[in-house]
Amino acid sequence: MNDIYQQPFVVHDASNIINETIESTLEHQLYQKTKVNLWTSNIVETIISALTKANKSFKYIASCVIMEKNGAGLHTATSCFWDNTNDKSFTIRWENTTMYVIVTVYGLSI
Amino acid sequence: MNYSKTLSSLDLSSGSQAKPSRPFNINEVKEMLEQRIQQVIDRQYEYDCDKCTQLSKDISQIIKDAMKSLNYDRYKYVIQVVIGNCQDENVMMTCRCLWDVETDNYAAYVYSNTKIFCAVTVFGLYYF
Repeated sequence: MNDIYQQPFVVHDASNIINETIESTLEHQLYQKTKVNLWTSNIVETIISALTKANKSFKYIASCVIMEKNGAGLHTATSCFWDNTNDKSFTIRWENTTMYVIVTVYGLSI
Repeated sequence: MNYSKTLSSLDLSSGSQAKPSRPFNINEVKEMLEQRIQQVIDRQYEYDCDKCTQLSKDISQIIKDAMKSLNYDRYKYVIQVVIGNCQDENVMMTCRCLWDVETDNYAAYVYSNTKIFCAVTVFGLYYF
């Protein structure tokens, strides 16, 4: 394989993109059952299109969980079977007064 | 994303293959997920903060090993497990992927009883 396909997934670029996307979608919003579908789709689609613009030869998976704050607990875990040198994942946890948001992005080299 | 440009510049003599010999079968993976998770979490399982931390990690490892035993050639896997307390609140989980639709896919299974819910997603990505 050419070297150009071996660039590792750069995590700090992704974290800026994710943070900005969540802030712009959810800042000052309260949890609303009717809108949450729209928010999750918006967040993941914006992240994917922003990552695509970087034009690297990667496959991406973006996953978003939004949960209302009601005292219940939530756990997430990930396991991956991939190439450790080139593939990376990144998770961001965000919250406001009414909800928790967990966004995970995986980048896998082709 | 348009992968045809990438594919045409692949050096096939170095061992890359453009098509999987056995593509990712969603139904097979879903059945496996159902079997494995129902073995681990039974109907009486209650939500406990510390136990569930370990449980989520254990389930992701178990599913990763089960995927390896399904023997898909040249596939990378990403397994995501979400476990939560069923307490009347709402949870929404969404994902979007940028990949090759002919070779890559995902399978998901959600288990729930009165106390706990467990959502497992397995993504399979072909390595050219």
